[in-house]
This record gives sequence, structure tokens and C-alpha cells, in this order.
Amino acid sequence: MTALVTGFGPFGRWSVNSSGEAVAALGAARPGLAVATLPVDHDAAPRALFDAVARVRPEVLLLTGLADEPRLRLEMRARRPEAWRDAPDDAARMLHGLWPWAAALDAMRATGAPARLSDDPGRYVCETTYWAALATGCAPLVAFLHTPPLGAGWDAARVAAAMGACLDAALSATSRGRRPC
Amino acid sequence: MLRLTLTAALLAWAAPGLAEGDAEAGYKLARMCSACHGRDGAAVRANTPSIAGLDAEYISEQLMEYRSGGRVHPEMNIVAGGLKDDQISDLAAWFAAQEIPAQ
Repeated sequence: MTALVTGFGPFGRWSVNSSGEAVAALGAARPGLAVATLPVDHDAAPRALFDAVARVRPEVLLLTGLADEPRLRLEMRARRPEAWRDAPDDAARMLHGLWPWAAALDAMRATGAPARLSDDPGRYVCETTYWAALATGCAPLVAFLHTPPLGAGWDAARVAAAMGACLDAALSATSRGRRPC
Repeated sequence: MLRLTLTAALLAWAAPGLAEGDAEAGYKLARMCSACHGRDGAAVRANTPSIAGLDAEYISEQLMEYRSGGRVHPEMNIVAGGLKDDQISDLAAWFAAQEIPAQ
């Protein structure tokens, strides 16, 4: 089962992006796992994602990004972005991820991390990238996980542990032979 | 007496073996169903069934079938695949308690 996990680099006041840091930690802990860091830009992020997807051909794609909230947020859907200039014209305004939501939430919480489901990815580059992944069929299973800022009880290892649990829930679902298409 | 015993035996055989669910907990879980079936079980997407007001036992059975892969549906197999027994019971209790939407 091939999986790809992406995070974002620094932007604005966030000189350290918890998503990129945790993805790097997860990749270091799992040598076979494909990881990528995307630039925080509405046009460049989808392009970098598509490059990574073309290289890895993932069956499971977990996108991650930073949100200023002290818990993990598993995003279930994305709205069509206004800022992505290459957005396909014929794609839906709202697209839904596919993930074993309840199992992923339980798995993240089992690591001791607070987590919740969300249907508002925030209308920034995170949502643009999520929608781009869904609109172009980057992988059969796709979800977006928002990660809390580092500090205040969160370090990269803790975020990575929860991120890994979220990923494993999807890998477990697919490994049992239930494939979305 | 024999008839009562047989009825009880048949009911026991037909029951899916799950405890009665908690509708309030099911409401919280139903968020992950809302994209297709609506939070209250009234379908919001074409070619998706409304599940409000269906029998709780039937809903539980179907979710268990999706979970095991016995019933095949690309999205439901993934979403139900990670549900625990109590979560299935809770979802079934919530959707069963909703009013059947007007057709």
C-alpha cells in the first residue's frame, strides 16, 4: 500500500510549521513512507503536490497543514478555491474526502492527542490544496489533517504520532480489501 | 408456551447482537455521514438513500455488512470499516429516531 503524506513549510508569522515538522519526523521514523513539503502558495502548492503524486502514485494521500487551534482537526471536505488559477472549470464547488473518519479520530485520540472532525478547512492554501487533490483524483483515499502550532504541549514527535495514527487508520481500511475504486 | 419459546428463539437468532445505541452519541458521529445522507438521515446527494426512520436493527446490520465487506460500496466500506460495534449502535439509534423525510 503506497501512501504519501504532505506538510507545509513556514509562512507569515509561523517560522516553524508544525505540519512540515511532523511530516519530516514521521518520514524519518518510517523509511518507506513517501513525504513531501509543499510551499504555502495557492498556485505553487497544487503544482508541488501533483509532482509528488506523479512520483509516488499513492493509494492513500494524507495532506496536512497548520491551523491555530490547540488540537488536531480532520477535515472532511473542501470548497472550490477562488485563488487557484489553474482550478478545473468543471469540478464541483464542494468535494468530500474519503477516509475512515471515526477510526482515524479514535486512533489519534488514543495517542493522547485531542482531535475533532471538521468541515471547514479555512479557505487558505490548505483548502486550495485539499480541493485540488480531490478535484484531480490524486488518490483513492484523501484527507486533510490540520495540526496545532508547536509549543504549549505540542512538539513535532507528538504531532507525528497522531498523524501516523490517522494514516494507519486509512492503511488498515484499505489493507482489508475495501478499496474505493 | 412452545410458540413463545420459538418466537423468542427466532428473535434471538435475528438480532445482530449489538447493544441498544445512544442516539445522542450517534448524532455526534453522524457528522461523518452528513456529506451524503445528511445529518438527520435525509439524503443530500443524488443516488444516495435517505436513512432517517429506518429500523435501527436494519441500519446496524447494513453497517456491519459494509464493515465486513459483505456488502460492497466503495465509500461505505471505507467509512464503516473503522466503526466499532458501539458506534454502529449509536448511529443506528440516531438515524432510526429521525422522522422519515417527505418523498
